[in-house]
Amino acid sequence: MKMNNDENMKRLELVLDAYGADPQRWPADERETLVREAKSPEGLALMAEAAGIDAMLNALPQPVMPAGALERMMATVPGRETSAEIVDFSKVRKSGKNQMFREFVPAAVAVAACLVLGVMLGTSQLAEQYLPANMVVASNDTTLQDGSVLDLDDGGFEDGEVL
Amino acid sequence: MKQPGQTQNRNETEDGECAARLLQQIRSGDARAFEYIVEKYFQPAWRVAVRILRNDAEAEDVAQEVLLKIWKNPPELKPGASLKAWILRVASNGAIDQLRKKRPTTMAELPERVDASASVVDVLQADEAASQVQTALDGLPERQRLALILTYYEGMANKEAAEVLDVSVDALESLLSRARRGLKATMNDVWQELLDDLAKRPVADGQW
Repeated sequence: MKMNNDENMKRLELVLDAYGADPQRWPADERETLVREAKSPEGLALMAEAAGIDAMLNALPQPVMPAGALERMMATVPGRETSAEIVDFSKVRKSGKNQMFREFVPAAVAVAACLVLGVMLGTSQLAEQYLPANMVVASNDTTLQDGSVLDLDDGGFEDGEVL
Repeated sequence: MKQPGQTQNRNETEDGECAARLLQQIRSGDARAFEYIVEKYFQPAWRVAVRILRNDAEAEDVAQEVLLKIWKNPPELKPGASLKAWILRVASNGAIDQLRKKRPTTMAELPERVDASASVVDVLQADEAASQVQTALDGLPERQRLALILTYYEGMANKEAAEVLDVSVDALESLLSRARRGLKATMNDVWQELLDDLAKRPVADGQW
């Protein structure tokens, strides 16, 4: 519905009274018409008065929420862990033990088995057969550094003989 | 003539649908949906409460209580209703109830503000002006004051602010007009002096 100038001016007065002099606060669907009306001499006088009240209202600072208020809010929620997550150390200790068991026991068993095998080999004669003394003489060169020749037939090893 | 606020219907419906979904998620125990609501609305709820109570800690209690209500017992909103309006209505009612229980405050407990660019005299004059405005606001009837807080300081759309106050947009405009006139009448004697003081005042961040 179209309004005439008088109605527009009345509406401007009402809107200024309610919302103040900043057109951004005015109802969006009336803004364009009212801004035009506000540029008239009568409109400008009304705008100046509303701007004075706005200046008063602007004197109050915007309150600033105390630090940590949001976190405190979240901490009050029952059954919800906070962002910092509450840690149950008794569980951590238990789970730590379990994890150690899972990760290190197989390795410890392997090491123990190696030790037992080593002891068994050491105490039996098998070591003498299979460890470093088990050498194959592969060379026919029996000349010593002083030029003498080693007599292999005399208590020496035969070629290819395995002790 | 169209009623102010009619152009905001579409957005408010979207907000309403989104709010209904979030509340449904909260009913099924979705803490992330609740976190979203807290992050979005805790601060506005606190600001409205602190403007009424002028006490940070009490306002925090009120805002916490309102949000916890949503977690424990999510409200059933009418289709298209604004969750923000519901939260601010409960917060303002809680703050007003709290205020009624309190003894009358004699000293202005204004939030602190530090502006390094302002001279000491400017700050004192500005604080004096702010104190007088705060006293004048405190003298307004509760609903007029709340109407101003919601529309002027919280920048709410008229229809949403009307929803918080549970009145029509026309009734909201009437409350606002009376509030602004009342404010001017209270400060009539010091009006020009105050305007001069405020003109000297440095512009602060975060204000309209």
